Amino acid sequence: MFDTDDLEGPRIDRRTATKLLAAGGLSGLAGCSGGGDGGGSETESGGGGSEESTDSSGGEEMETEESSGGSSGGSITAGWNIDEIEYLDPHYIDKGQEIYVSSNIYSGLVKIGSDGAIVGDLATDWSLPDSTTYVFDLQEGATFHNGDPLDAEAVKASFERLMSLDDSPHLGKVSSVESVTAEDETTLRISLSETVGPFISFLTRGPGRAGTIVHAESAEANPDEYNRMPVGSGAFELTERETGEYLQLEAHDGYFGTDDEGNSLPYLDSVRIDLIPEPSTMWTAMRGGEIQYSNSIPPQNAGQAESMGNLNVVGTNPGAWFCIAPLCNDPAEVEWQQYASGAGEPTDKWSDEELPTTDARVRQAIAMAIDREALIERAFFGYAEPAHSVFNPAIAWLYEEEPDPGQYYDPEAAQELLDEAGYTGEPRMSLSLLGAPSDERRMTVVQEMLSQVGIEVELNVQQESAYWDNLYRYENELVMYDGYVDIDPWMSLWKQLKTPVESGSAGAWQANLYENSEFNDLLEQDYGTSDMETRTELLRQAEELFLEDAAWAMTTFPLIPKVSVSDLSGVGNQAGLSNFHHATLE
Amino acid sequence: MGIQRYVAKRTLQALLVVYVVATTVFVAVRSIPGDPARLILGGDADADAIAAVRAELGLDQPMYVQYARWMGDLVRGDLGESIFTGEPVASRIIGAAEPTLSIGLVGISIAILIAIPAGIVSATRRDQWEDYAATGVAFLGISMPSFWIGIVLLLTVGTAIPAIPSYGYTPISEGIVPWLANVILPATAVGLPYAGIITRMTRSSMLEVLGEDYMQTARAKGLPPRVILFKHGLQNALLPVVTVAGILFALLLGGIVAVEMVFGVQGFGRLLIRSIERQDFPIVQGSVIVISIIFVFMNLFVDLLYMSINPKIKYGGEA
Amino acid sequence: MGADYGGYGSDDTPRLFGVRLDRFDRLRETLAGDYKATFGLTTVILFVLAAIFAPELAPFDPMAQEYAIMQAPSLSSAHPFGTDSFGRDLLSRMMYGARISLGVSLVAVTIGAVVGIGLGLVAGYFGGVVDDALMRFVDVLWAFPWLLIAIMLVAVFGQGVWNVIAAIAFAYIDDFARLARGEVLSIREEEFVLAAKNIGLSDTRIMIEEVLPNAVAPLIVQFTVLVARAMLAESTLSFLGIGVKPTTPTWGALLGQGRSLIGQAWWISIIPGIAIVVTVLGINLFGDALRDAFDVRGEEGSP
Repeated sequence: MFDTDDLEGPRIDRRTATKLLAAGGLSGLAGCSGGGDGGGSETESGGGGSEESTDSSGGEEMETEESSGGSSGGSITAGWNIDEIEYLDPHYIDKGQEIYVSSNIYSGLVKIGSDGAIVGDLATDWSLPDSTTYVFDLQEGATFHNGDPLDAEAVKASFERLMSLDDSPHLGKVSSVESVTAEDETTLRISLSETVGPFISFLTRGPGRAGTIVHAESAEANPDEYNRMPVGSGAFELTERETGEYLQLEAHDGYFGTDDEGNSLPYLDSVRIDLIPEPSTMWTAMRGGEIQYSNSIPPQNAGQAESMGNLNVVGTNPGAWFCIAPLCNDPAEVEWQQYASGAGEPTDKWSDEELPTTDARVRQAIAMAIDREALIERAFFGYAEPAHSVFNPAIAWLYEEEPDPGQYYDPEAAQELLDEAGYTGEPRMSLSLLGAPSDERRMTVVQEMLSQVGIEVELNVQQESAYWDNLYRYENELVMYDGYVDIDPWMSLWKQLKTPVESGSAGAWQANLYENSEFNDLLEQDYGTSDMETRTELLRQAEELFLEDAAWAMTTFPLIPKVSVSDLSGVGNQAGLSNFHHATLE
Repeated sequence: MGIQRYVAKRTLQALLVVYVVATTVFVAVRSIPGDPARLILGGDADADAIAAVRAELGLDQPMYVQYARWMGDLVRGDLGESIFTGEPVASRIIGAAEPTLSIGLVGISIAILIAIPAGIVSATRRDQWEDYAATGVAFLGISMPSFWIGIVLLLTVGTAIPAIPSYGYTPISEGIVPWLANVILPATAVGLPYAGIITRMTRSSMLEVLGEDYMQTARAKGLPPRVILFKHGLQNALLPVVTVAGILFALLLGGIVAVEMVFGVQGFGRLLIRSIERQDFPIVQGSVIVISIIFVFMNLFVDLLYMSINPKIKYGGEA
Repeated sequence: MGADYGGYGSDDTPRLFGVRLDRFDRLRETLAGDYKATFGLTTVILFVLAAIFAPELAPFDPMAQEYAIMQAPSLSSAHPFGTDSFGRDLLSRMMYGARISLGVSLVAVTIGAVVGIGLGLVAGYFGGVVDDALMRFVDVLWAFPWLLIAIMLVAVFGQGVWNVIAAIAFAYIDDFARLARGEVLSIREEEFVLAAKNIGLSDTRIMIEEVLPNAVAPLIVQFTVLVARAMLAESTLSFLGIGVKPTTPTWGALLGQGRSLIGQAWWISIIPGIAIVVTVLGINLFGDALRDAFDVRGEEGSP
């Protein structure tokens, strides 16, 4: 159980913050590891999984980031790896790249600080009189970009707006909110109908979405326009944009955030975000100095960037994992397949064709046939961590760098297993591997590795929309599968691998028809408790089953390289974000 | 047959062709496996949400209903809205068309500026080194994929000259010089192969013309050679060039898409490909209509131009 | 052509499939003296040989990912063209790539030719309503941007060599159809055709045995021109990632894979690009020489 003490402000230490964000199934956090080989220095702390002890610094400013180094002022152009920002209304945002923008133009009640701790944003402090009530002390004199006051009433209006949207994907985060009261201009009280441990993490700016404060009046008056040109209250204001080309962010003069010394943030005058979906173009622009920051460059260019003296590279962990998902059961024999796929008639392809991946030994062999180090080098150019089990580094409390048992490269053992399972021909079997275009590199490497143990693989690359269609038709023995911003076993185990039922979140994302009733039981017990120690124990048992059954063949935990020119420092990359609040230009 | 009737007939045929193409694409794009609703919501959506979005977009209706609706809108000049952004298709296309058109027009201009003089020189100095040089370069140009030219330019000029940006597009509204600087590399990549073609064409039609009877007559009359060359020769030589240029412009799409990709230009080609991948039906349909119309009517225009310049050619009958 | 009764008359000049062989004598003479032809033909033959004998000639397995990644080309090393980002030998991949690139182009243009010429023959020969209908159909085909077709084929059927072939073939049908039709229109009034009709030969026989062989010259020229264009088209599709499967080493695909690594490993894109240029150049030169030799006047092919 979380102690209310643990949950109170003005700062929640990193360990607790990690657990909270984990329990709330939210965006990657403490897992900011530096990638590659010690290239450039970084402003970010945090290696994957390490935790710091608590340190409540009181006072106004919550950040322990470096204070005003460098001069203030200056404009930069940043490259964003996406072709269109479709949603800037945080109540609808669901893409990482959009969150990275919203984190700069909105405020939240709290935010994720540079070291992964949850600290106050608009709220200077907060307390929990009891386990279902939160009382926030807000900044005085804060305003929206259009000058309207950002007070408790405004925050209340923002919450009420979210609660009124029945098509928002984030409604679930405020489903237990009973009332939001503005006790006075700077005091906000939120009452829940029941204890929700991770609730505070929902209120973070950016990843929390629900707690990102919108200007309710504008949002309600014209939602489409608001989504395009929102009114926020963050460090930067969106003043101009051109679809598919760029967004212009100007420093918000009335921003309430200040640094340790009381200087007002942000330091920069403006940031122009160029939308550059083409990775090679992004790198060309970075190298040529046309942009000063890139929130994602192709790993193959990161190595080059590291060796260039005027560029700094940091590999950030967005809470992602990659695996190969083998089809565990014949869809025709599984009555519950429709709950996941939404499809009526399952394919009957496997009634007369063999499906080797129903045999756990075959799945284990596949997991052991993958040389993760080589894969990381060839497909990620070093920008990934090997995945030996299902918990990625951002689930700090469960992640282990070298789990035992785990999935490790052992081609001889793999071949033995395949022999044992009766596949001794040449090739032993021919499988089809489904993937999306972004998976192509990995697929190419995997294909070759599996051929080394006698498994012939045919690559089936489909465009994204067709990928999902194909996946749910269950016609491929193997699927390249992944998760992003996936930080709680609730997401990866409960939603992905539990057996789905007609309604409810269990197994809602089942991709490969895995079924194990003991596994399901463990997960159910886990769902019903919020005591971290009990959860850990249960989940370790579930993990064992996962590994025995080789429900997935885990491959890697990727790192996203972000690059800035060395003149630019102070960009906040916690949780994979790109925050410019403390950024300065020499 | 009279010119007016001919134009009317051709126009009708052109419209018919556009109609058939548009309809085929309408059906084809809905046959692509996959579901735009699922893409909009992200891979983690559940079946109910997907169904809701499909209904909202009108995708759950039978195809003929969707078709009727689309046709109805089309007749009123409404191309619909993007499934993904809600933005009207027309404005989306216009926005994406500017970079593509810029690259295309500048590219063709570069091609013509280089090629016509080169072709003339080549013809007048036939079988001398100028001819071989120009012909050689022309052939080389025709044989190079335009995106490869783009990559080479990027590696050389793009990185060497900082003043010339190596990616993106600067709208004309920001100034002619910045626009030109940003467009010059992709335009050259697109234009060089065409320069090759136009050089060859100019050369061969000049050669033809130089040997014509009326040229000799003109010489016999005592007109100075330069006058002959420019007045009679050039006009006739340019005829086929004009026709081909018109057709080439309409054919630009294939070459430009890859070049756009190399230079990171968010142009029409990219829009089309992305829209097909995402199954953004209205944009795909709108784009195809626009392309076909340009294509078909451009050809009609060129044919008419050709006819008006050279009334010896009779259309409508058999060759 | 002269008075010629297509085998039914008294002319004794030797023939192959009804085409006068002495035309080929003249062709051979012209070509031998033409530098363009020799260069062009030699180049093409070299690449074709490399393609056919790739399995024997290639030093390494084109799929083997064992070697050091991104090694620069150097004549002294085992990898004269270097290696790609997966550690595969570039020279070997290029040799195997030649097979696919050339193969795809040839097959695609052949299919386009067969269909297109068929349509054009019938349209030109019968004229009238048939002509109108078929030519309208050809118009529709022609108005379809081939890139669009390629994307859709891949979207619906997935990646694969045959989708590329289909898309390219589709794009060239109208070229062949119009050309064939034009030729037929000028031939069908010739005396030998009328003579054949008088004798009572079936239309099909006349089309295939009389008309077609004499229309062949510009069609052959067009064929070579279009093979060159098809190679460029295939490379464009592979470059864009629309077409063959990711591991298939067509030259265009190799180019595409190297694009993001241009700064570090320029050879992965540039060398296959050079191969494309040289091959296409060779085909173009040869085609041009053919055109001169046949003394055909036609439109310069456009890409």
